[in-house]
Amino acid sequence: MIRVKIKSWTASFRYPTFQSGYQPTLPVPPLSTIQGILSAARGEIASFSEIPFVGYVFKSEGKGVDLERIYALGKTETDVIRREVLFDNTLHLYLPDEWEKYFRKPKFQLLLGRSSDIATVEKIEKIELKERANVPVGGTIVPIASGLPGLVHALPVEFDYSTTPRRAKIVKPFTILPFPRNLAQRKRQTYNGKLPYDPEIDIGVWLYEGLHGKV
Amino acid sequence: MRFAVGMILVDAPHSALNMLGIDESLPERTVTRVKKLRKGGLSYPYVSPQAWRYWWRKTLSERFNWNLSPMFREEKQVFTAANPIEYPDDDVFGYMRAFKKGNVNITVTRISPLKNTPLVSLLPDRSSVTQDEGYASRHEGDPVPYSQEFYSTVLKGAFSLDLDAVGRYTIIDKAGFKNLLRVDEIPKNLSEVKSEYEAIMSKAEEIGTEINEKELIMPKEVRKKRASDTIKALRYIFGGAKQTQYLTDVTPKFTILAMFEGGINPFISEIIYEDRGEIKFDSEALISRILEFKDLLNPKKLFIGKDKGFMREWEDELKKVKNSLNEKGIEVVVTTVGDAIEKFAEEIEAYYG
Repeated sequence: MIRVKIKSWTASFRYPTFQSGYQPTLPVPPLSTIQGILSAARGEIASFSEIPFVGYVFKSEGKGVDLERIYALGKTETDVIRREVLFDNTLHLYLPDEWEKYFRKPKFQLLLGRSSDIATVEKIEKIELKERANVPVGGTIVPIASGLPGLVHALPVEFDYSTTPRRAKIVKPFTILPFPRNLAQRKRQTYNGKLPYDPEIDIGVWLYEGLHGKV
Repeated sequence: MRFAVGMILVDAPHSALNMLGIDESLPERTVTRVKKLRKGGLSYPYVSPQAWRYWWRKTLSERFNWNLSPMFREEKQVFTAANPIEYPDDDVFGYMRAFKKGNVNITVTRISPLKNTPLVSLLPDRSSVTQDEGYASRHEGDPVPYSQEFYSTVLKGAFSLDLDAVGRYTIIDKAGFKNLLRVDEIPKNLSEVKSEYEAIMSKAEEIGTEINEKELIMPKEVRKKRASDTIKALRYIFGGAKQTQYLTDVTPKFTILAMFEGGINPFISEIIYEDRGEIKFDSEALISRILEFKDLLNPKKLFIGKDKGFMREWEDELKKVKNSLNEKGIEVVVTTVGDAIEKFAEEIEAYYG
């Protein structure tokens, strides 16, 4: 497989349930954002159903709150909302080899969220991940069935782009696991079963294989 | 596909370009704060991406006579005309407009071909932000105290302009690709929308727009002008809060510009960095990033603009960049900011033929 390292100064991932004056960001991207990045790289809408496996690890160094003027529905005057943004981010994507050509020459600009969250490919490497038991997981979302403790949220997996505006095709509950920052968090987020392990980032990679042919 | 990308540095020796207001999460509720991003134990002042865009759009209107898309206020919504044929800013900055009448919902969206990051401080707040105690004392009676933050730093920003997307509008039934509607798909009862679209389409035809099943492509002269104006505007960009008191020149004092055949911006990395309160330029980092993407660099040219008075000590580093990239067959033009932008704009024009 390949590992694509993507960097950005800012990132923001919409918290699906919030609709009011404050727009927090998820600490890690949902699968639908990954779908967006893959689609931008290839130049056409990608579906997980055609991708044998995909995994990702996202790490952010900081955070901030931005103010944004919006034009809300049902109101003629403008409003100012507060929007959370992640700062200095790295996304590692684990993909089948054939994706290398798309990330070498992305068809569209890669974004980690909104159009201000311009991202760039820093490195593409061929790697082998060995399976290991009892590894920490983080910087990603995992199915609830993994038994790992964390924030549980219903998140979009894939969007259907055949309608305007697009609609979420599948929404499933996931456990959100931020990248572990300390030993206690690593311990808490250790998965009992076996997982491919990336020694360089010192993290277990949750590979989504079950989506192949199913979305 | 071709992208005009760049990174810029704005010298902000005494500025408060984008304010947060009162930070309710802090105990002291009397200080107007600048916007900041936290990282580790430090904070970094920044200017919102939408603020920078706003300056950019304004500058295009004032300096380049762009006829800006008007804001429409319907009963419940506000949006621009969403007419990229008539209004260049709708073309370059994108839009979303929902035509919603009764139970008919036809929405047009255009992803902005021009994307930009926020302008982020290279120095953390401890070495850049200060709190100013002010007094309003022109009135009779006791002076009224107030406090506000401002900073002294260098801000970095990056942008990417999708040259193929400028002046080209897809009309595919796919979210994000429906830039315009087809006249025949607009229901009869929406006569206003229909006549609006008939006007857009006849104008498009009149100026020689190529119209086919899936897209509209404006004449190359129009696309060329819009793309090159967008880049040239950087040279004159003006904006920001509190200009009366701080008068910050927000035109770039340093810029690196290049064209790539792929949606990447190699300048979003640690080419310029902070080291113990000083701002440094890492020539090795820039060289290796460019060589990494050499295949995508087209033409094989890099434009670096630097204001003479800004960071005098970088000149040697820039020579290193020039020499080692020259050896690898990449031309490096090191010049003033204005000249770099003009020369880069010429390359953009050449791309459209």
